[in-house]
Amino acid sequence: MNVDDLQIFVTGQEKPGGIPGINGIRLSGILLPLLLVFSFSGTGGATDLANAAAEKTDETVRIEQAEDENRKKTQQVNDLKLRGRESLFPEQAKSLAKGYRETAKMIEEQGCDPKPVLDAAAYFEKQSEAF
Amino acid sequence: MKRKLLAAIAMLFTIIAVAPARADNAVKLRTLVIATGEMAEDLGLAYIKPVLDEMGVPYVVLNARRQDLTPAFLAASSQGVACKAEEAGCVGNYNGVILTDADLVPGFTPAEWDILHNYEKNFRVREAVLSGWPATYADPKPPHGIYLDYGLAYSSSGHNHDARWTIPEGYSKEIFEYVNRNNPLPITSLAFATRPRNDRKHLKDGSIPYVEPLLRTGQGEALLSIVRYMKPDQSAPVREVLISTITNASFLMHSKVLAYEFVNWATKGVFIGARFIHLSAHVDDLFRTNSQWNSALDKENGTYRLSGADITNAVGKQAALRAAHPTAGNFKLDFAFNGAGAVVNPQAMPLAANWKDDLVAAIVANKTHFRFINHTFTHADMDKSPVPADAPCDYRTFTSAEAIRAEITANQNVWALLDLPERNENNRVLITGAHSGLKDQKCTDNPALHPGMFNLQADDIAFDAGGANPLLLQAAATAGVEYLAADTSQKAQNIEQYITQYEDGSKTDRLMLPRWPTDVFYNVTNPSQLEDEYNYLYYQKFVNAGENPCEAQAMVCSPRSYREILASEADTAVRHMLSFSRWPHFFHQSNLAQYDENGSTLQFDWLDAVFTEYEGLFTLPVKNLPYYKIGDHTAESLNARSAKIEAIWNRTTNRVTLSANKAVPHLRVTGLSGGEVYGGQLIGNISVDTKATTYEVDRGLTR
Repeated sequence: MNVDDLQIFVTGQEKPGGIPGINGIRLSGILLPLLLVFSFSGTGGATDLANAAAEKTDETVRIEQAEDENRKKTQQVNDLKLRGRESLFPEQAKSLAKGYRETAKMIEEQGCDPKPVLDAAAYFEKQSEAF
Repeated sequence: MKRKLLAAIAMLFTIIAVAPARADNAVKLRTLVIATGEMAEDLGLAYIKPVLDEMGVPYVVLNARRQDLTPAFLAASSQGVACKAEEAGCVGNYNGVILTDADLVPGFTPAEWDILHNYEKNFRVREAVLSGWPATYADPKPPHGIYLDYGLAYSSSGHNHDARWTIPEGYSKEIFEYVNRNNPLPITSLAFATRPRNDRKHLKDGSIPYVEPLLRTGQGEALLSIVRYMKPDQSAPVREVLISTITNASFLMHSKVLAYEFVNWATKGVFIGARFIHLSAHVDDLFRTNSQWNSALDKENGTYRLSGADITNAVGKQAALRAAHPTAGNFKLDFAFNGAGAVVNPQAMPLAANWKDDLVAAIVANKTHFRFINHTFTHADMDKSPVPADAPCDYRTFTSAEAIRAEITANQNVWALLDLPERNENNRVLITGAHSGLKDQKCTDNPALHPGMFNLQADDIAFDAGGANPLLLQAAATAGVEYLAADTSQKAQNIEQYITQYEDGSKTDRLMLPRWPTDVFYNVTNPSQLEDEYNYLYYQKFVNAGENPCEAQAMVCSPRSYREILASEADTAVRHMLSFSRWPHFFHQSNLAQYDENGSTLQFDWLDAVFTEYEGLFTLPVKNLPYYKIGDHTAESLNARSAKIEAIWNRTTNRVTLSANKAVPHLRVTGLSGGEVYGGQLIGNISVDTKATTYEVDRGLTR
């Protein structure tokens, strides 16, 4: 258990109740020493509460992460769906691949490594063929 | 005395004769887009062109593959000879440059890069690069200097980044003011991640690129940066570039987030045109009943009509939505209503409001919380009559314009009976039942009557193929309707356009206003119903027919939960919003039914999901306009787009002089003093005509 967990717990418990003029940070200043005393004295109550809060926080974080992942997944699916409706995309991807091949030649002429650009060319060639 | 006067006059002439001609330090408000090909070949051009069009920004496209860039193309005297900013009367042709690709290989030669950079330096014009390889190229010909260098070193490639905003404080009031910088921006296309070199390597003109990343990968690599080209003896940069090394395309969400700034940066926030974010939700069929989807039967069975309690609940939910979402402002639902359901007897004249109906009473009691739109009296079908007239048809049709007009005016009468707000303004607007009359369904509308037809729309005659009903257009014209709703999912209806191709007996044309459909279907009131119908239509139906749903246009590869459907819907709606379109989304009255003890509704679940998704990306207030105003603004935009606007920004006086080849009573110009404050910028709404008028520029850099 760390101090941050406790502060989140105290804030989360008090804010919805709306004690006027007392915000979570101030309460943490009052309750934090008390909770620390209880946790170190082996009294189970506060420890359990704090553990529950820590678990809740972990659960909230887990849910938020899952939601972020879902949102990203949804976005990728919709990106793909909309790309499928772009009738010009295969030709555009082909042109882009051709352009990157030209860029790779130029990079080589300049004495640099063209691999990343050749990879990009291959990627867009594949994309153009996927439709 | 006389001698002194003559001496003074002589001195004055001398001063006039020897005084150097004053340079105008002026550029036209017009953007130059340098592309690698035509739309079909250039992903970047296909991406930025609709953005410029929607915003109403004048631009010229130079196809680097086929056209050469010359100094005279960028700035020329009245005789057509290339000129410099310091020459009197020399006006730069562009106040911003957008490159669709970073190195424009192989179309752009080192000499053309020099011409472009010299123009940018001479006229203090910025450049924005949409995508590409962060090149550093030296000229193979003597004197072999570096002619192109973005000051970046390649670091890695990837197409899945949670990019973080790192906008330097000095730019916080100027660049990406509209994004939610607290949230990562998912990048879902190929990107070259880079590291700023910030070494002392200089280009052949002596300038050194200094890079400030604005958007970075989780490893701190730059994906989007400002490059300032400095010279040791000057405090101001000689050139400024915004470069993205992320692939951008119109179908990518991150590209929609970034799009505005490419234009805004390049033009220094002073340009003809503007962008606003809009969201409107139309709830169709108020006072009617809607058929209901039966999950057990996989077809419709039963009906639903809103109750007074549903309306009271909607008032509370609307207030909660506004409170939960800072960008929602004073958001209001728009009810498209059918008055036949609000009167005692639709056949009895004069009509009498049915005050005993608790829905009617609740609507009237809460009328100031909502807006209303004419959806015709009975929701009658306005499609063409069959030929011959006695041929079988799934729906009843009208055979005269007068009968259709009566459907429009009877609903206007109900508007008056219920004393709903803004009646006069709304007499100019019409949404026909199911957008009928804009295509010919050829009498096939009911799936139960045509079991052999997989797709009932397969035989439809589209709007642009002569499918619209001229009787509807005549009736609309005589009833004073100016704006007619259309469905973006229907062919040739997904464009704002005056209906010119049909004779309606009027001197003016109706303006078609498209609306977005959603997958919150008209026949569902609760999540399980929606989930079932959604998965039937987009998944099971294809499986049943032996097809792969994954390959169908809807692309639902596995059944979705309500949560997943909402997420997908929100993503789609936000993409619409980020395209700056004003088009509303339409729903139906069933969607406003309370489905649980918390008063949840499909309608407000959708709105909450959309605002949540939007606010994760943007901070701009969302405009929620009445439909007639959407019509007015669309008409104004179309008029402005059809005009030839001349605008010159004199940077010495910091004023813009505007004129047009015709009257443009409402021209939006970003960066004008006294304009509406939006996203930290000032957006003027000015009247322009053939006479030149001058306005003060305010880039809003302190807001």
